[in-house]
Amino acid sequence: MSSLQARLAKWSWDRFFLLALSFIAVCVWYFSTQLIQPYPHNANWFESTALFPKLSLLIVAVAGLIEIYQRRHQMAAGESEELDSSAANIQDAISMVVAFALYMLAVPFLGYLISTLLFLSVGCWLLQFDFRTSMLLAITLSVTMWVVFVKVLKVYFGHAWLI
Amino acid sequence: MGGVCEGTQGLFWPCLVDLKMEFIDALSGGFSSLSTLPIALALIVGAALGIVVGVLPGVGPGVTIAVLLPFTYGMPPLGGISLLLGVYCAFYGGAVTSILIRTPGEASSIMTMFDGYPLARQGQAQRALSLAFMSAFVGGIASALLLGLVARPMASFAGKFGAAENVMAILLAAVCIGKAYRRQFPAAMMMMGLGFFLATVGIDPNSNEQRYTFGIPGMLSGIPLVPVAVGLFGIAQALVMVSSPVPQFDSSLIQSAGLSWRGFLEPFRYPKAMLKGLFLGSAIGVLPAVGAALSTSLAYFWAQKGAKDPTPFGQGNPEGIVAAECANNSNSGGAMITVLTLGIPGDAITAIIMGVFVVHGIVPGPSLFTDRPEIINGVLASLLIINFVILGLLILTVKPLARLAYVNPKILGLVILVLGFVGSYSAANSMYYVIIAAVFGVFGLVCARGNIPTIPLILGMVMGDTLEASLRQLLGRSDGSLEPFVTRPMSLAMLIAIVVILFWPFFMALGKRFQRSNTSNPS
Repeated sequence: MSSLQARLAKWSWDRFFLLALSFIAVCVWYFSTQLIQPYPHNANWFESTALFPKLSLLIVAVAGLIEIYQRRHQMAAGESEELDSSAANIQDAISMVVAFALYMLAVPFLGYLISTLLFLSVGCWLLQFDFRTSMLLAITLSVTMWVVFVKVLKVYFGHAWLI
Repeated sequence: MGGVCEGTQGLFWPCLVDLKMEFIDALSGGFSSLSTLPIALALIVGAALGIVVGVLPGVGPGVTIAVLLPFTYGMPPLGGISLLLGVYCAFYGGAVTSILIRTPGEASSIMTMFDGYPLARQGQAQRALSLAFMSAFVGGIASALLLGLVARPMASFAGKFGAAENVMAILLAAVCIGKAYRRQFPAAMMMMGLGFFLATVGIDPNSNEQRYTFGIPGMLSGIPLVPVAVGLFGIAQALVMVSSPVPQFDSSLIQSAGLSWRGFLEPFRYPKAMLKGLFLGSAIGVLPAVGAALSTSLAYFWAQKGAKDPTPFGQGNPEGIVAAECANNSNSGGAMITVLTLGIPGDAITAIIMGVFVVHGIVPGPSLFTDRPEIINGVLASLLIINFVILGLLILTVKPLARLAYVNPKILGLVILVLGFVGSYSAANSMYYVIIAAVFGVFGLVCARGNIPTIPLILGMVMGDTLEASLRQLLGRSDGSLEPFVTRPMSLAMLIAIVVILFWPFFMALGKRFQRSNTSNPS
């Protein structure tokens, strides 16, 4: 194993995530000529529509690399009002994301009421609530949401097979 | 825009009288703007919601405001702003859980917990709650008055800003935001850069070129702020709530929730602590991204010096609660000053509130004071009225309110997910918005897991448009020369401030090294 590989093996996942973000920023910066249509090839640099996004991407890439370097040691959480997810179980979160994605897909076909009812039922099951609580919660919430948003506020979810 | 104190030849008293008259005019104009039923209702609903979410475990004002934002589209602009301001100002209801169950809903309520909980344990929960509510009320009123007195002069000053000053002001704000994250400065700047970049996606309004749309039709109109905010603050928070264990707490004190009239008057016995809180809260509120958490902790530690009450801090000293709560709630007015006068949000919440302005085609900044004075006056009057409404609601509902702490955060997480879905969808009746919200929700969760801040991303998105427009305007006029940044005094001053803030650690390290070498070589 080369020394680079050995070093990379010690990296925490967040450093890889930062590296991926920086890498994407560099790629988008490099391919800007294709990603801006039509690209202003003849414009002066200061008049180009690519100037600001390229500068922004440069900030992303450079700041990301500096952050990766800073994280060579274990760092403490910053003193900010940001979201604290240290106690979160990532597997539970992933299952909920999958359920939410299915919910998004279901609404145009099954309709808002049925999809919300199903999502809440599945959500309650994933969270291991007992059957009675799950049903009570799912039915009450989905009907309330449907009445408020579809009937009162007239949010239109398109034609679906069901309601 | 007319300057403040014009015609008073710069004399102090006439100028002050002028300011006072302007303030009273603005206030009466604001009250009449709020006198319609939908706006008054929005204000009361916002305040009530803010109080409830302040007590509900895990739900902060950021989540609520992000989820509510899409529903403000159909409202009159002042109605939408009043609704969100109600939520923003009412989160001091979180003092209930800090004092009774030792669980601060927000970072800014931690200091209240230090002395509030010991007081509650000593059987003085009602006194502690009364102290906290009245101190927060005083803080809120003071910050609204500060907004009324300072915003207009500051806007007339900002009205003299050109493109160079606008660019420097935004860059200064960006650097301040980054520095607020201390050791995470590069990560914060990275997210800020990402926010700037995301603001450029879509059709460029000047040249009609398509930028980074990847051929996706939905992206032609850009990446909208609403679903990004719903995703980063609403869905990400909901995912954390459903996947975290339910916090356990000692609920024995919840039954003792209530208020005492003596406690309500008690904060006025500690004017020094109150003033310290008010000063720090207002001053820090004006600074971008330096949130209420810092002002409450600084006010708390400052109040320890020369405290009147002999009780040790951390063991139930009332001055600790007074200073922290005054500082906590006097932030809101300060944070709104920069939004209204410069179009620069002070924190994530004011950035989302700024979204209401943007959605209704209102451009925050100095011109707003002449173009839409009813909005400015309405915001000022809203901030004043909201504090009375909140106090009234808290007095009436404190006992049942405390029981909300029992609500299972996992259920709240599910509700937020469903609301996030319908909120982002209804913003444009488009599934594209829901997809963006979901993508940014997952991104927010990953960032939270990796200790990467996401608030700068929203702030970058909000400020990106103005920054790019000002930069292009300046460079276009100067044929690409950067000279105007250093030839205009205000711009130069801000540039120097940026350099000093950026390189302050190096200056400090140099100073220390110099001092060390002097002490080792006294000759």
